[in-house]
Amino acid sequence: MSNPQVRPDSGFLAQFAGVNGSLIAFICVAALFHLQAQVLLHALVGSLLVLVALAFPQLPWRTPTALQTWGGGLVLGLAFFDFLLNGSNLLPPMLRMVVHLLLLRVWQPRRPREDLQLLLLCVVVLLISGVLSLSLGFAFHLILFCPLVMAQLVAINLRSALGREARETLPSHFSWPHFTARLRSSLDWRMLPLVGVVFLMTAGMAFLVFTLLPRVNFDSNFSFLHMPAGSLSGFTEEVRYGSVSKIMESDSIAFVADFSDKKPPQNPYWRMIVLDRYHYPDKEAVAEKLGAFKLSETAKSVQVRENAQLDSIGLDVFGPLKPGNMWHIYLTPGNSRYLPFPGRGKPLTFSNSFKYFYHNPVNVIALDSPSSSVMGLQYSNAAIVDRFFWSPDDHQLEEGGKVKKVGQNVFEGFPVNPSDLEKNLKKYPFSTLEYPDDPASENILKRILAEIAARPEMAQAGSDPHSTLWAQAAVAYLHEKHTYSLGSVIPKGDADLLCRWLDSDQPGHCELFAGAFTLLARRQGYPCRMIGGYQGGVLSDADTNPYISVRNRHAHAWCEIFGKNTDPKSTVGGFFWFRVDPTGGRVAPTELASDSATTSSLETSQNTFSDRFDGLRVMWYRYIVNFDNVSRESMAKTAKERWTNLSNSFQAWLVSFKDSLLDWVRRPWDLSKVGPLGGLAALLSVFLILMRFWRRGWRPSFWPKPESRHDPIRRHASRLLAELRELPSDPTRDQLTEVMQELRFGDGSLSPRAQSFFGEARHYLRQARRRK
Amino acid sequence: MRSPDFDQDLTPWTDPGFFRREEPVRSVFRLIWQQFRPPRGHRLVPTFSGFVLLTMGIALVVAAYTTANNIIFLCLALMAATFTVGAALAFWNFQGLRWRISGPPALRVGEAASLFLEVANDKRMIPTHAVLAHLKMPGADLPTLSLPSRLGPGETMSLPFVCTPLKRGLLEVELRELTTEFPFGFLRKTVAGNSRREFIVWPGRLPYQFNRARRALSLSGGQRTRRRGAGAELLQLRAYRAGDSPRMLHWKASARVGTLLVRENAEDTRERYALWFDPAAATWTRPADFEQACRFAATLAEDLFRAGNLTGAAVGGGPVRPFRRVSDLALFFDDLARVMPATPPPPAPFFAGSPTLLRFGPGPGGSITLYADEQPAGSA
Repeated sequence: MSNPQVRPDSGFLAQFAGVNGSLIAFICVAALFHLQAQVLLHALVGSLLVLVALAFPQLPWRTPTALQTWGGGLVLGLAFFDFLLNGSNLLPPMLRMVVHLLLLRVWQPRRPREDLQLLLLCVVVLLISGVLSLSLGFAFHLILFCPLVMAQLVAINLRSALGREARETLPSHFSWPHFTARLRSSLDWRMLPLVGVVFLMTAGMAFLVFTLLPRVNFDSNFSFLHMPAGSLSGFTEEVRYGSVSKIMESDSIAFVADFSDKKPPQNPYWRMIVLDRYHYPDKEAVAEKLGAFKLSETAKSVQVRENAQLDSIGLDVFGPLKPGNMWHIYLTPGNSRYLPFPGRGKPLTFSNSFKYFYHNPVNVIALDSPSSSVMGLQYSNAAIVDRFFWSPDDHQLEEGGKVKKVGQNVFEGFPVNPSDLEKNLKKYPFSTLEYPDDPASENILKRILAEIAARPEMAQAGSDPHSTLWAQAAVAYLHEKHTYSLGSVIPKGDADLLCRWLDSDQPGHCELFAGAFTLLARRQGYPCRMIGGYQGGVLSDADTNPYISVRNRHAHAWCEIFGKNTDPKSTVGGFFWFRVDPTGGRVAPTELASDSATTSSLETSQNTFSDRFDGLRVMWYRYIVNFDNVSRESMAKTAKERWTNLSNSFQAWLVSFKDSLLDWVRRPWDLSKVGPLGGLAALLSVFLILMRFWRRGWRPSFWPKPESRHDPIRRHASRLLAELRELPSDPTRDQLTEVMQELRFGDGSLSPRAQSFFGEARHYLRQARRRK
Repeated sequence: MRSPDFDQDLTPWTDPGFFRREEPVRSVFRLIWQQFRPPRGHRLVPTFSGFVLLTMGIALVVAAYTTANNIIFLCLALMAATFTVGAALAFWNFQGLRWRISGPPALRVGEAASLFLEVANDKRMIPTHAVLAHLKMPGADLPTLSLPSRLGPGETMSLPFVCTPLKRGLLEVELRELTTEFPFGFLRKTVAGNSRREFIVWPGRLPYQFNRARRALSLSGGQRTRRRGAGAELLQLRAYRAGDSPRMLHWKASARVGTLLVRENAEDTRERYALWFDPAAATWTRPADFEQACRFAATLAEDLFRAGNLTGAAVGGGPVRPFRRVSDLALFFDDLARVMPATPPPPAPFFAGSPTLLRFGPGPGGSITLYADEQPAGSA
């Protein structure tokens, strides 16, 4: 039995509620760090304040009375002005108000009522941060939050049950050593497994309720629940030299792709931004000849949509779609406002409500600002494609005239009106022909083009090579001349930076390869655009539920070149934007970065901590964030299948066991067969006898007798005591009850004679049963 | 805290009737049935915090279905699970619990007495927490008792409470119900107490006047009794028994007969009274006088018994109780506690040994007059 003196009293419960309440508040305020929004400062300052209150729990008990009286009014007044100043977006001021109220409660002396108010505020803060961020971090906060809140509720309840005085009294002092010692002595360690079971029971029931709750998708989500954030990583609409390699320096997750058909693409190119223009953005760039690729304004002719699905992206020109194939892509918060697009897929849905833009000439999807929460996208019938069918805008490239600017009469059979070209070079699609025309750069480009034209691949093509053939030759040329490296020293000179690199034999990275290829193609007269996105990823769970984690280090740049489809196998004619990945050392040049590449560009999971963490993240996305009616049906189906399989295997095992048993029985009986059987029976008998002795308290001399309630003597006495209590009182019964109580709860002095007492008690009970 | 051993086995224990180990199968079915039709007095209702949580839950349901956000569904599920587990644990908090009210065998009007609510936890592993007991007694408020700490498995705890009866007779103290808001405080689980205990309340004391000097003159003083006592007169000699004081040995007689003999002295002479309480309704026309007379009789009987002057007492036509030990006084008090004005008047009892008979009658101005052998001898 535990010592009553160490049981928690009202003072200790108040101290525990104070410390635990501050800890819970810290967990909730720290969850705001998942929101990359206007509350970051509050999260930082709030966390520090709560930590101080946690480290010195006696400080809130000494808060000036004025703060206790006027604090609430002050916070509400501040909130009123905050709402007035930020009328357009109500969420950040509301969140700030809740955080202020929470901090006020943390720094006030708390009785059970105030403790409950603090818990309510904590729930609100945690819920908002979870709803807005949808991040895995929220799950960790929730896992920490739940048991602490349960403990807090129990402490509040126990304190309230001790009466009004216990409720109203605040502890006068606090000392951490005393508190921890008291905590240790107050805890009933034997109860911990039981507490664990209760927690697991709660979690299991929550899972059951979460799974069984029907989902109804009204498609009318509140855009109120969207908080804009700044882009912390990822692509913007202007990519200057070094931008992509800067992204590659980070190993953080950009997005995770999940595949319902369990067939991930082997060589995925995740297209995010199309950069058609090449220009010098400022005077400094002009002076240094440091060009930048950007998405032109005209290419942004957009369809703006909200709360709806896009009808289609891409055309179904590459064969029949596979019904039921669904790709889920989850972008981490604050990554980029441009969304990864595999190349083909429809329809596109969002797990949250967002206003988004579809730049249809270049097949780019963008949000109005980077999302502060996890962004969920769904593409049905999705596939990575290596070419895009031309858009209506691209038809301008077919109109008549000579291309005076580039000195070519014709390219790919699309004569371009020179006046249009002069006038509209900054407009899409003519922007895909823009390149630096200063003499130094022009000379370098001309020279290198001549070298490419002299290659053996071009000799086969004749005088009018189509763009893909030329691209193969150009890529081969680049690979021969430049190796892949993230570090390269570009020589100084008057020409454009990309031209200077082309002219050198320096190694380069994807930006240099793709940029140089783009300029060469344009100078050659082939419309070409640079693409920013991600290539590859880390493939995990390849055998069961494959998913690809794409990290920022997978950032990549490649090109799309305009040309006629000359593939004899293709049933679709016309013009396409073909993907070309000119970066050396990554993809074989002859395959032009096609998805049909024989070797997978995916890394495989090494089961490191980071990979396991990604696995958790995917589970969170799959089973929590993205859980819907379809997931529920799928889960039910899987459960049914597994149960059927289990049942079938059990039946098969039973049949097999029966057969083998019958076979064993029918075989002739001899000593070798009977011996093991007899040995087993003997072992079982010995075991049962030992168990019987054990239950009666017999121990070998070297085995110390346990002092706890689990002592068999005490347990047996407890059983007999329970039976004796049911009988009517008489002197013998009372005497035996006293003896059993002594054996059950006493100091063990009667234990040596326990067996005789048990015998008497059993005899008495037998007689009593007979009398009945 | 353990209660004094007043009457450990007189009051039966009561339990919530959830589950009995001796009939496990029936208990399981009963348990299931009780979830649909709780026994009388058993309730499970939300507390104020519970209502707040339910309101929040409704708001979350609306938000979840409006936004289709799974995080809100998750929080909703956690909330529902906490509620359900809380209800199960509140139920389990009472499982294996039993209780009874105990206290002294009798109480006195106007005197505070300590009673106890004994609570035992018969669970094998799980303690019981935060149980409140709501007691009831007619005409007075009783405090709500709470377990001061957890009640461990196999432990018994006695919760003391003070009760001051206001009138004589039978007082019923009832444990109306037991409640708990354990574990989370969102639900209040109530089980019927189903435990009541009757205490007999003796009349209280009151100040009085009793003129003994006057009576002593009229008595035949110097009478010796034949009862053994600590007086000076030798009553008889008897053989020594183990435990006798050596000072009482009669050495001369012992030497004469060759075996140890001890003296037995007679009790000293004293006044001897018998008390009769006549409850004739014709005598006691005012109930207040009757009550006052009961108190007077009780007070006088107690004082005379302590002084060793009371030989016997009777109430109405009841048996004459000789006063030899304290329990005789208690029996007389029991009679006084139960006595009511009687019609027709009971006959006067006969007291052996011709003691002075004391009886009571209404006096002037609401007072009570004491008569000794029909002569006024005191008042209250």
